[in-house]
Amino acid sequence: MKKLFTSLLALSLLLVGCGGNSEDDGYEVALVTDAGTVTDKSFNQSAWEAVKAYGETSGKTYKYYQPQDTDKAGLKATIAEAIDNGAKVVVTPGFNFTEALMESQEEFPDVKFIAIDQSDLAPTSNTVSYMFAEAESGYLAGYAAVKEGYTNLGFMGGMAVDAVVNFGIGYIQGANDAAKELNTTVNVKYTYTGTFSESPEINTQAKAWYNAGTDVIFSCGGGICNSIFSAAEELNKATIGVDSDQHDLSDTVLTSALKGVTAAVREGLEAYGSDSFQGGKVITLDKAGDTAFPGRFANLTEADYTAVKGQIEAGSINLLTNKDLDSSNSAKDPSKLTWSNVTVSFE
Amino acid sequence: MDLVYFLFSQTLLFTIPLLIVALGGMFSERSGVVNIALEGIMIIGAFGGIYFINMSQTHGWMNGLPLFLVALVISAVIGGLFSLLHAYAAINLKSDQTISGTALNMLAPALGLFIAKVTLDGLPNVMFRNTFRIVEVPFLSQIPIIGDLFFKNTYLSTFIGLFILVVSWFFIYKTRTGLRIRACGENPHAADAAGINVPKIRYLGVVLSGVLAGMGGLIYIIPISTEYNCTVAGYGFLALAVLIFGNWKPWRIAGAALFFGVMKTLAYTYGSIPILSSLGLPSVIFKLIPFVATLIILTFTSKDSAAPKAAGIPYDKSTR
Repeated sequence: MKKLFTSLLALSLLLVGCGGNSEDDGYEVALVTDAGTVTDKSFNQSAWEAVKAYGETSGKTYKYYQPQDTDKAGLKATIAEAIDNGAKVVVTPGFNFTEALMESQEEFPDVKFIAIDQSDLAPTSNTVSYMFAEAESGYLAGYAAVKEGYTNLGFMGGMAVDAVVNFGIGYIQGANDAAKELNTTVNVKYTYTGTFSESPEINTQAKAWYNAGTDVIFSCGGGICNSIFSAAEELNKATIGVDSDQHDLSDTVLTSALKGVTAAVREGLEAYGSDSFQGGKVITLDKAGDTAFPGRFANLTEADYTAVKGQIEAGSINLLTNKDLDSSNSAKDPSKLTWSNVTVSFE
Repeated sequence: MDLVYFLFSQTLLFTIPLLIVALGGMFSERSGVVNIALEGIMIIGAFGGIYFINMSQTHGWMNGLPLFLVALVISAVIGGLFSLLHAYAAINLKSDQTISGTALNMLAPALGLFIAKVTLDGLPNVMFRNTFRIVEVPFLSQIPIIGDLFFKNTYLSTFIGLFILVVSWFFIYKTRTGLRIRACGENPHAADAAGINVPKIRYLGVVLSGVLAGMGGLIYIIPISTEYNCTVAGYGFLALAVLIFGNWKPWRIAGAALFFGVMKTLAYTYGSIPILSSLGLPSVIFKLIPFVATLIILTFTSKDSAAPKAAGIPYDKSTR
């Protein structure tokens, strides 16, 4: 028995040895993931796809690091580990990184950082920060839903963080403008669930909304979509997805308000590769904000959709964001803004 | 009236899993083993059932009610096996039951995610389609009121839950084994002196709790999601609260589970109930009600608490 164990131990050591790092200079391009994995159909996966694609085309070595703890200390340690492993550019997707990156960017001035979606970050000269115009894709989603013929809309956000609030306000504004064009009025139910994962509470609330007449709910917050999609499937109603195109997750998904994480990471890495890295800058990618069209729309015409999209791209619509909310509005309640054709009920 | 039917079916969504898991906890605690591993057992039991449903739906093995029943049996078996770890630590090794329970709670989600990642193309989440809702039971749904309440838009699990409730009551109060379970939880030394094999009875109690908690996990997740991420959002702990609230007695546990179910439902649907929404109260109030009510009721009923006297104390023959 002892002999067997010893030989197994030796064999496993041998196998581990084979799997080790054969690169001498480590991995140049590193992705540190936020909570979740690189197969989360969301932030991490989008970022990883861009890193992989860049690595393959440029021939540079690349690797992802999944932190054991996603608190500030855990993220900082993982960033340091990636740099220790030879990383010269580190991609950090998600607002969760803000505090860790504030310190890491100063500790490692020779390393370039690409920050994704971190509104509170003040980038130093070795960091470029990418933000998204969530209000744009939210606007398109709301506009499209009303043009499709829905007059009872719902919005469920994960938590009242800037990105979610921007999606929500854009959604209402889009619905408002479409209602104005159609000379009608629209009701929007609006809530923050306080979590980014599924729960029976969210399922119950979504069903209650649908039963009270809501036609379509914009599910804006990671895993809560599981409970909202399940409610919509049961009652045969519609939903709108978020971040990535979620139409294959459920037949109820009308369209998805997209966030161009892949495009942002690609742009950042290419700038790094061509020595045009814009350190210290905050770049808002507006054209990356979009919805998945044609989705499952039946009544919305392509002409209508491209017309309004063109207006957004030309900047002729003054989009509201979380900054337009009163600073005393700590609940981030958009019903406090004035809407001409929309009645917002905030729960 | 439609609103009442809707609220009732939503209430059952919360009540039935809480009821089944709390009844499981009752068997364990009344045999003398505190089981705070209910959460972990729910997680791993649901994982087993959902994993089988996923496999079966991808390969087309079976579907509909037979699939639901087989998955339920798998959840029960896996829950029962998983609880053996707790039983072994608590009964044979005489360990601190809170610690071994916590260990199971920590092990369960990690184990589930690991198995899913290794076997399902590196994805930690297990997808499934909920095809188990019964739109209408023929004939029975025609009964006025009761037909609408119980036999339309329902799940088989509702009836399984009620069946388990009746069987549990009968088993714990009307059978010899039930009496032995209660004896081991109150005074194991006296039970031992009367010739009862205390470790064996306690094993039975813990495994029964594992079986029921495993089933409860599957019943919890099916109606509310389209994929499973090895979490039951603290419902195992909530079931423990229901067990205490229900004073370790089957019918009172049922009442407590129903109370929690009604309160949870009102907290998340009040906006769609005209009378409640016209009150204009902030939503936090409704979400607080179940917990505040629990505190108040426990304060008033703590005097006649019927907690099993020997629960949580490892049985040692040599101490008297």
